[in-house]
Amino acid sequence: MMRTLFGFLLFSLLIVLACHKQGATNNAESDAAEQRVPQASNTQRMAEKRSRQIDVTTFRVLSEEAQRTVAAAPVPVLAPAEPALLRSTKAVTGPGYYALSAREQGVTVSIQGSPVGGEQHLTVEVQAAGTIVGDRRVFTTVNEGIRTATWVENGVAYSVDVECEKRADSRCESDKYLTDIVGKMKWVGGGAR
Amino acid sequence: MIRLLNGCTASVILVLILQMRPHPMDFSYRPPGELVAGSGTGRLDNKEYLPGIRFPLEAAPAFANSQVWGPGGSQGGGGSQCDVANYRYPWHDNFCETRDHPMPLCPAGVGHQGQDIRPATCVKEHYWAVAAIDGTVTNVGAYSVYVTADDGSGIRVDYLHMANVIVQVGNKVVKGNRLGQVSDVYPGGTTIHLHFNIRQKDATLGFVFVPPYTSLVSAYQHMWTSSLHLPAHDISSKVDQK
Repeated sequence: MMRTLFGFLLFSLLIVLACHKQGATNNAESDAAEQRVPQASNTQRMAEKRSRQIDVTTFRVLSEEAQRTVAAAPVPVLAPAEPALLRSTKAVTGPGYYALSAREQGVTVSIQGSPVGGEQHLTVEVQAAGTIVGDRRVFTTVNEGIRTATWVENGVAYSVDVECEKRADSRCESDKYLTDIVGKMKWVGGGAR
Repeated sequence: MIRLLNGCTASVILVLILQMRPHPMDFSYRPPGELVAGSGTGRLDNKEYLPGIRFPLEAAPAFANSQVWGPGGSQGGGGSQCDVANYRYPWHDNFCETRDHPMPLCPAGVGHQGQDIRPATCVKEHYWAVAAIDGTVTNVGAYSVYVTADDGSGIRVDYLHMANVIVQVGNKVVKGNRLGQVSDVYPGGTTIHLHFNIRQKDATLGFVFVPPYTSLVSAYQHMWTSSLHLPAHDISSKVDQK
């Protein structure tokens, strides 16, 4: 009887130890995985989050009319983060593009987005060095005093133009104001990213 | 005697005709990429980047040429912008004309992004600029109007330096609709002309300024042959060989 009881206790102990070890192994694997996942996918997770969620704060500053237009846009709509610009933004969408136009205190900011590819994209060779603005490689130039930046993101070509009414306006004397806008642009709606 | 008089009359008439401002039928143009001497290196490119556009001024004649390297321009050797030399053929391409600004399609890597066009005379705010494409007005700035094509291409054409702009953001336009009047609106001033850009998409760079000259030549020829009801093969315009 005692031998049977001892055998049962020993067997139970072995089971408990085995389970504990398995649990410890699982926990260790799980911990390791948890440590790996954030390290490996912080950027990815942020990108995924950004790709799924529009910036509601920015979106809400737009007029109701602009909100409706932006929501129906066929391409992902990037908009400036500056509230004063957003409040004066007029939005337009058409086949394969969206455009925003904002005038605020002597400056006009114009934004356009349209998917690249298709039959009417440029077929000649174009090469130019870009500037890194945030996580974007942007090409900047000046056209008759209008500062412009352009880049391709998620298969969509974007451009931002900054135009000043007056000659001595610091916003048009360098790329700083332009690149500040580009670097802080928010996704506010339109097609999936 | 009568023959002599007829000859004299004919000569006088001929002189009068020669003194009149150019008729659209006399149209000629220098080849694409050939800029005014000393104004930089153009892009030798016969491609018509935006075929089928409407000429962006309502009426001919009009003169595509340099504002900076013509009389009255800062590099034009003095004189007045109203100098007759600015208002005669042949046309000159001025895409890639010397500027400091990066331009990937220009041989120098920098240059002028569009084409400058003078209206028939140097009268300010008299001549209408019109829609070159069917599209939507997507921006109206202090001196700019942008029209984006409604054909799904995302192509945009830009009109600069106009006054009395009569369109607003969101307006639909079709070829020939009036947009504003040719003027010299620009911080610091410029000559009376329309600056016309075409922006097209590149898969890696984004929106790129492309040469508008050949498209404008075709559009100009088409405009006045249509108005004269002439078939295209009767056109006497040509690439100027001088």
